[in-house]
Amino acid sequence: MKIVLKRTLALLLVLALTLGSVYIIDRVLLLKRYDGVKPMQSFYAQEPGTVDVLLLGNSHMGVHVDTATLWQEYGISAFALWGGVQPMWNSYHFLVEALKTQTPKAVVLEIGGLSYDWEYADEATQLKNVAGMKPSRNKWEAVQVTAPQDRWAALMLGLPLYHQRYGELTQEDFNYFPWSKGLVNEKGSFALYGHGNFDLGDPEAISEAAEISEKSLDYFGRIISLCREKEIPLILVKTPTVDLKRYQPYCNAVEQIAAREGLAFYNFNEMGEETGITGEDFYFDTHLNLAGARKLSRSLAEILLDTVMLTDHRGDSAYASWDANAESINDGYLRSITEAADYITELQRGGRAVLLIKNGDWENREPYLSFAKELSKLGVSEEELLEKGSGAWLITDVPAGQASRKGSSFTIDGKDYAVNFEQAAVTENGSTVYTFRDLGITLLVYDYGCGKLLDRVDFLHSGYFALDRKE
Amino acid sequence: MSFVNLQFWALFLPLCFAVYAMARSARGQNLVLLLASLVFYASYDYKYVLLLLLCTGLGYLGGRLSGRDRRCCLAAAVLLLLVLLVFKYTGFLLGGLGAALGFSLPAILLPVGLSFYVFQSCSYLFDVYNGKLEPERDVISYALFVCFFPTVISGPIQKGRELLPQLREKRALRYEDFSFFLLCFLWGAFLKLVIADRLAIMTGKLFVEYYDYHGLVLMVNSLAYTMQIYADFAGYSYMAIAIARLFGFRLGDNFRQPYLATGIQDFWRRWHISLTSWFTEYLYFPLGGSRKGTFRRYVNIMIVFLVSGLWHGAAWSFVLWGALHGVYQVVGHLTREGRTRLYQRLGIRMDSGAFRAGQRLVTFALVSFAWIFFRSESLVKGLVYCRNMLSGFAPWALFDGTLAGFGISALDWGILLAALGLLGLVSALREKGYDSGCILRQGFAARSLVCWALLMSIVIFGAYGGEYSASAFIYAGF
Repeated sequence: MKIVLKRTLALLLVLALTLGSVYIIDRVLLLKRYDGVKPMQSFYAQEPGTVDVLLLGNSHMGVHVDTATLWQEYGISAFALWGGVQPMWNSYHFLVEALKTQTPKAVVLEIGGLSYDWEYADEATQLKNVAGMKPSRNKWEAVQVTAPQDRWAALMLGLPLYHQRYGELTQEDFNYFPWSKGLVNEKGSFALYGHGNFDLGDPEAISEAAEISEKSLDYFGRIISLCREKEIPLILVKTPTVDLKRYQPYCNAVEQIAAREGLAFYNFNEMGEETGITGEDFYFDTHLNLAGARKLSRSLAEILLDTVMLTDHRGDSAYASWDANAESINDGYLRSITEAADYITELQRGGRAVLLIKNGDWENREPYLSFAKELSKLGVSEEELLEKGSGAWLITDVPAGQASRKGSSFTIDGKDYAVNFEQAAVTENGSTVYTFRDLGITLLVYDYGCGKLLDRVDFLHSGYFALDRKE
Repeated sequence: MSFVNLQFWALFLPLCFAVYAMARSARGQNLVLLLASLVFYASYDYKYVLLLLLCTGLGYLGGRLSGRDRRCCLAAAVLLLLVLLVFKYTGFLLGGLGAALGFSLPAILLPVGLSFYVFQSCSYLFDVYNGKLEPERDVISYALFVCFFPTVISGPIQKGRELLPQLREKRALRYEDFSFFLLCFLWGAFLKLVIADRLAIMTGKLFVEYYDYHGLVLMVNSLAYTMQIYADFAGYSYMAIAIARLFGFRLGDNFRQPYLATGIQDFWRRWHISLTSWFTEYLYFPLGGSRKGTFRRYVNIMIVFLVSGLWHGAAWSFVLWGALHGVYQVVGHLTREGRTRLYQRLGIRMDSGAFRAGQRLVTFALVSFAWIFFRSESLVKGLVYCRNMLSGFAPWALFDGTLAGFGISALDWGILLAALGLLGLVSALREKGYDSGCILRQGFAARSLVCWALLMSIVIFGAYGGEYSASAFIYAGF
């Protein structure tokens, strides 16, 4: 008997260790998709009861609404729980999952997911729409509706479908444990940099209403019912798109449903004047860039504030993670900008110090004249920039803040920065942190939020001043 | 539902084992296993359960009626072989005729495991006919002997005199058997999922697109297939033996380091031992074996290998594969004396390690070459493959990243080589007499560590899941 007990205990111990190992492997190898998986994993890390506005839907929701703008400009603690090409049934199960820990004051649903008329999404989309969910009955139900039966087991476990990621692991892959910090600072939304120039059509020219698939309609109804049951206002939106031919018929159909159900529906394609969104605010034909997302978010915030009683949580330490999220989105965006004018425009949003270095003797003629004018928007006068010879300026608070006089030694946040033109180097507390070009304009951007140099870029003269970032 | 299927090891096996553990008698245990075996077989194709039961009934009746007339055994065996002939060889035998006469035959799907359970049933009938075995009276025991789920799909082919006695006694569930099961099953799964199925990604592509490649690429591919088929079939066999042991049955080894063989005859003593043993006992010996002179011996060898080729598949490529192995053996016998004299004249010591290594290398190369025809979709394609392989050596393919272009990345190649290194090490240790018992005799922590390491390797590096469709076990197709 004693041996049996001993062996049973030993086997249980080994079983526990094995399951623990598999759990760790699963966490590391989990597909860290920025859509579907990462939003859901980040959602679990949120403090219960802190999400006031839940943004649900497909990529149109995740990319078109900027949680940083909602927070920084309105104090709205919003979270975008979304997935690329997310059908309504996955949005429904995301909502069920969200309501386990959060009691949002409003749910905003992007109705683009109603346009999918297939029974199942492609296999990759199936995976990203359920892989982030914790094992639960809700996940099992989500899996069953997401894919055909032969994939249920693999989708439920997840690991069989992403275990081959061992060849592409990065530092981020080791930050998805319950004890990892940082996920709480993610609020789901995803920023795109870059712009095309698209013609925005006239949505009113399309009057027909699309036929929504039975499955989509069923889960749309479930979302409506669940929100009613929990007494959460549901706001339906269609965020801007260039592809009106595809989406407008669904908007027309949803408009009828919304009227029938007594729900608010905002078709932002018809609200160009309110949002100020133009063809240049699109990254490509179906998605807004961050500039567009910021504009849309402002309009959405106004609607939310008119509709629901929301508390401005700015300054509340319990909501510090929304500050971190905004900083992360804005910093990431700044670092992804590749055009000089966009970069200078973005810097003017403030919150940063800029060390501007002019190296070389630029003749006062084009294109430098125009570029100096552009640079002066940061806070250094055009006249100073046009002076002969090299020089360096510290602008402590772009754009309105005080600019240090031309010099070679500066202090930011208690750190000493020195510009050595002979060696074309910048030192931070005596250590070289950047070497700049012989003949160029260099900007070193210091972020007060993260307390360090955020970005370093050169502007090189090649017919015009082009932004160049060393990798 | 194969052994590496999630439903099998997460649902079927634990459920089956739990019910089996509750059975109070040998008959009860057998009934549980029989029902489980039928469910397992039906998961491949439920329609063919009837055929399995028909073959089981034929074998059982043949044995029972042998009391009246021993020839009933032979009649039943002939009927069973006819079933095999109809399902497996109709297309092969009549396809050419149909083409000549302008009609086409309906395609007949080969029932999974048919060749294995027909041969197993025949071995029982031949043993009863030869008086080596008493006919089995208990229909459940006999049915389980034929349908036993660990062996019904791809063997190892059991002989009645080895398995039936084990069915008559109630099997005790032993901790030691469970330990053996874990280790052996995980090792089999490691061979299948980490080595075989990963190599299958490359071989599956290159045996189809061989006409675009030459030289070293095709050589590496044929070596890859050589390792794939071993890891696949040996992996399956280890898992089958392990599962049988979980239920208290002891099955013999089906592989004994075949690629360490020093000659083709030696290779066949180590490769698919249960089939070799079947052919030796029920075909080679009845033909006269080596007792009727050298010429008849060679003829008998050729007959056995040609039949063996056909057993593996109804195609001329399999016939050539069998013929090659027959020719290897016959030529080996014919030249043995001459070679020995040559070695003596050259002063080569035949008992040296280097000489044995050379023999192993040559045997490996010959076996590997023959596998090309085994894998090729037809005889002509196999010949074209060989022509391309022998033209344009192109050694830079080893270094310029070409090999990473067939679905196996550089990192995966590293993992594969490490796994093959482990397989080589285990084979060398087994050759020296260190078998699984060496690990099983270690303390609990050491045994657990080995099993844990195997499991984690499979979980991380196994070729399974969505991106890979774990290829079916190669021998399940025979």
